[in-house]
Formats: sequence, structure tokens, C-alpha cells
Amino acid sequence: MRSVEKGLLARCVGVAIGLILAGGLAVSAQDLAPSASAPGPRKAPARFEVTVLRAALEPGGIDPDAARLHKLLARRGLSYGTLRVVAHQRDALMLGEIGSVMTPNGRAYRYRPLDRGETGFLVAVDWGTTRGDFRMVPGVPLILGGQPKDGSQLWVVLELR
Amino acid sequence: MISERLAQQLHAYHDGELTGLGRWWLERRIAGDPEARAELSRLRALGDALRAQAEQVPAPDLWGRIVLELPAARPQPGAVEQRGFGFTLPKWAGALVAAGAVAAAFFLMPGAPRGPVSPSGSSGSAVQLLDTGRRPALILQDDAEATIILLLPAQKIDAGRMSDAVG
Repeated sequence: MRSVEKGLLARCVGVAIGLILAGGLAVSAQDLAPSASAPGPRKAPARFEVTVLRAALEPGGIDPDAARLHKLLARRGLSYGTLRVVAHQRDALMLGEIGSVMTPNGRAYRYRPLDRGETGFLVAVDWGTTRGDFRMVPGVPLILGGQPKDGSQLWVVLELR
Repeated sequence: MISERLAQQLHAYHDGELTGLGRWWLERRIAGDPEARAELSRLRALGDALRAQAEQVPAPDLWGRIVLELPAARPQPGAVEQRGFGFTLPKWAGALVAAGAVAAAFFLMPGAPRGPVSPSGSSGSAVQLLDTGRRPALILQDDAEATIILLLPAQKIDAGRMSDAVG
């Protein structure tokens, strides 16, 4: 009698473990399936907007498209008298693809989405001898500047849309 | 007319970024494609001309004035790599914690993303790695509003220190 109870108990435990494992596998399969097949937002490209500007201390006017940068820089103690947009472009890049814009000092400013997060992208950027990896989210610009050009400076604003 | 993809590869080749098989493949392509050769020549000529022009025109007092106007942040020469921890753990402890975190993410949060990196942006700092070669750089701002990095010419470090000392 006791051996029968033991056998029943062992079967119940076995069934319970089996159900737990099967449930876990089902949940995992459900989670993995969308990323493996459906063309959802995980496959959407990274949409960039890049603006190249020339800045000088001498008065010359602030372009309307540069007003936001002017305000941000002024708050950091960099008050320019002239801020002109010299190039502007938009790109949609898949992971690993490279976007590029030639700046007036003859150097290419390049950007490449490396990885995707919940709200943004990990983006590699290089410009001349400067390079870096940045965690970018829409609406938060990456502003890199200081390259000299004809007595002025160049700034590049990279933003996720 | 060359394709956009080939143009990007030529840009990368021109900047010395292509290596290995990609470089070998592109050099073969350039050798057999007059349009690719012409585009590469154009890139080289444009780069040389603009660099020469930039070198010929000095900026006598721009940097001096800018350095004087900068906030009291210190220049950070060379590479800046932000790290999340101010202390060190034994390697096995790190591995144990990482394994525990992965296991927890897998079994307890089945809806969580499983990519190798999750740039969520919620922690505020955008700069993960910054290498400016031998140039110093100032990270003027790195928060939820913007990331602003100012590259300084190497010879201006002393000017900055002098202005700090005087100020």
C-alpha cells in the first residue's frame, strides 16, 4: 500500500515538473516568435536628421534653423554672433548602415546605428580623429563642434527623429 | 552614376575605414570601374582642397576668446570612457551577478528585450565612449535635453589652464 502511494506521489511530481517546463517553453516561444518573423518596429530603420553649421563670434545673424542650437550653446557660455546652416540631410538607416555628410573642412561626419533599444539606438559617430558611441533617443540631439574653418568653427547636430 | 551604397563605401575607403575583405573587394571594384575611380578622385581632390584652405586661414584669437568664455569645466584630453561603477568586483562575482541577471530576465520577465545592449536612454548619459585622439574635449552637457561636446585644439590646453590660474 505504501509503495503504491509513493508511486502515485512520484507520478504527480513528474507531471507537475513536466507542466512547468512545458509552460516555460511555451512562454519563451511566444516571446521569440515576433522578433524572428514579424516586420514590427524592431525592423524599423533609425531615422536621422543631421545639420552642419558654421559659427563665428562676429555678428552676422543666427539662422532660424539654428536658433535651438544657439540657445543651447549660449546657456553653456558659447555665445556666437553668427550661426549659419551649411548642410542639412535626413537618413533612414538599418542597423550597421553608415550615413555620411561631408563638412566644409573636408572631413566626413559619419554615423552608424549599432544596436536598438526600447526607446533609441546605440550610435557610433566619427568625425576626423574623433569617434565615439552614443546612446541616442528621439528629440535629444548629439551636438559635436569645434572643428576650425576659416576663422570660424563647425558644429554638427545629429538627432533621431 | 554610382549607387548610394558604393558612394558610402568609397567615403569609408577614402577615410581609411575599410579593412580586410571589404577593402580588397572595393579596390577590385575601383580598378574595374571608371566611375568609381572618378568618384574617389573627386573625394580626394575635395578633401585636399578644403584641408589646404583650412590650413591657410588662421584663426588668430577665436580660441582664446572662446576659452575665456567657457564655464569652469576642465578639458579632458584623449579618450573618455564612462563606466557605471566606482568600485571593482572580483571577476567571478561579476560573472555570478551577470548570470543571475540574465536568468532573472529570461525566466521572470519573458517580455523583456533579449538584445545584447539596451540603449533605453533612461539613465540620462548618452556618451558611452569618446575618443578624440590627442585633442582635448569638453563635455558641456550630457543629459535628457542634449549632448554637447566641444573639441579643443591641443595647443589650447595651456591657454585654458592659464586662464583658470589667473581667474
